[in-house]
Amino acid sequence: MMAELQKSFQVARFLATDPVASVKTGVTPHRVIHRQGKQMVRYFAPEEAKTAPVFISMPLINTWTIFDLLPGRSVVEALVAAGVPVYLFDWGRPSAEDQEVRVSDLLHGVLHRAIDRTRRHAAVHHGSDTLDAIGYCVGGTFLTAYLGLYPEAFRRVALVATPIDFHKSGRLVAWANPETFPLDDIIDGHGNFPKSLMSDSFTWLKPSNSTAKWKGLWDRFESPGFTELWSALEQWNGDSVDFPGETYREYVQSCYFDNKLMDNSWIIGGQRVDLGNVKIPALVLPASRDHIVPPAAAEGLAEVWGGQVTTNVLKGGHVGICVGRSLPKALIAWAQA
Amino acid sequence: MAETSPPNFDYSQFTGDLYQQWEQGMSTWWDQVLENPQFLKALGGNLTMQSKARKAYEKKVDENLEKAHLPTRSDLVRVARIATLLEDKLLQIEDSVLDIKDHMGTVEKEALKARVEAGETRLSVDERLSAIESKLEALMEAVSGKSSTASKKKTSAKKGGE
Repeated sequence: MMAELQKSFQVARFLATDPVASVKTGVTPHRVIHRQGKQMVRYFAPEEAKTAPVFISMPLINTWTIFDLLPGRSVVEALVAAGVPVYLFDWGRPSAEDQEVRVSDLLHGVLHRAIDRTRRHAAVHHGSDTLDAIGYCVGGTFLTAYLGLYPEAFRRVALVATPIDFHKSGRLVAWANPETFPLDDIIDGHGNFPKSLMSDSFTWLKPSNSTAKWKGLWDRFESPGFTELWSALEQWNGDSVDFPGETYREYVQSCYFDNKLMDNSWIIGGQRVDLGNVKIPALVLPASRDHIVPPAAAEGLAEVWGGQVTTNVLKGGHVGICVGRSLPKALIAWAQA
Repeated sequence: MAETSPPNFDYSQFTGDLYQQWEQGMSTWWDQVLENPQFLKALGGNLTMQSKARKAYEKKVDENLEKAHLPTRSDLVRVARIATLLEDKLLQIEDSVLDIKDHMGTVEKEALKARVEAGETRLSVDERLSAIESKLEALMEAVSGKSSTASKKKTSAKKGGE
């Protein structure tokens, strides 16, 4: 009993120092090589490049730092250490003036240009403009749609916890139902889809996570490095971003309501997204305990992709895989193959 | 009477088990609530009301600011959007410049290739010319050698006749 009492004082003392505010994330050295409005390409240079450069498309709903959370817990850091030049596409933090930005503007305009500038940079610094691509979560969905429009943009692609068959997205499908989810009212009323609503949605997707995190802190408080990881994850979780309104409307309608990626019927900027036309090899990396993108939702790619699809289910949850060891290991092996 | 030792009570284990039971119960309950169509309908209605209230509030704030001759939120958004469009225009110009640069690069490469080819052609023409020249020289020499032998023969024949 005394030991528990002592531990509770230690935990209280730790929380009183406001560890969530003070932890530093996204510290792997890099520089911005291209910027358009709030979106930018961050370049992480290895000491010696041993593979083709990779272009990473991050999700639009959180900050990019989940791929570079802490030293030793960073996908980007691990890739760079293995000699992989990394170009990370950061979608930035949209605000009111971005509410009319459409998916077409993002894919045909912003992303297309970012890939062009990356290619040019890679040609100068790495002697080749051939790029591999990685997409995570919604960033992967947008990257997949982009490949449906520009099938030869990359040599190959790895999709981490990326929803493709949205009608297998678990509880989110029940929620994203046109009968009950007032999509138009929300976008018309708020402009952008508010980050507070996004954050609340994820909390309510699995309410027990809110208490499990405190239990996790208690159970693993003495494990080396755990408090720092816990603080960094708390910081990242609380740092959602607004989703551009019109983009969100189109994304939810096309993907969650109509599941258009599965029947190649998504029209973006007058052009049909046809995944059957994409012949490059794809590596699908779902997370086994993912309640946001269940493995079935990610594995749907194999049904519509024109090229070879390899699937490797990683142990962990949607966020957990990003700070564990298995994801960097799988991506390094893929980059080196 | 044998003395029994007090049971070694593990407080952590006890609270852990308690939590697990509570968590399981709550998860089952939440699963039922969060996928219940009636609950979702009510939640949707709430979101609609909240969004409409937000829109009405924004409109009211804008009207009041306008009355006070102050820039409204919509004004600021409009200006920011113009800045974004301007940046987009600049990037489009950059795209064109890069395309021209690429094109120039291709033209430059082709021009260089053409120059190299022309140089090579000139060299081979030079070589062929010098070969022809040397052949001509050899021919000339041969011709002049023949004529001198013929004249020598003539002279010696003359001498023999005398």
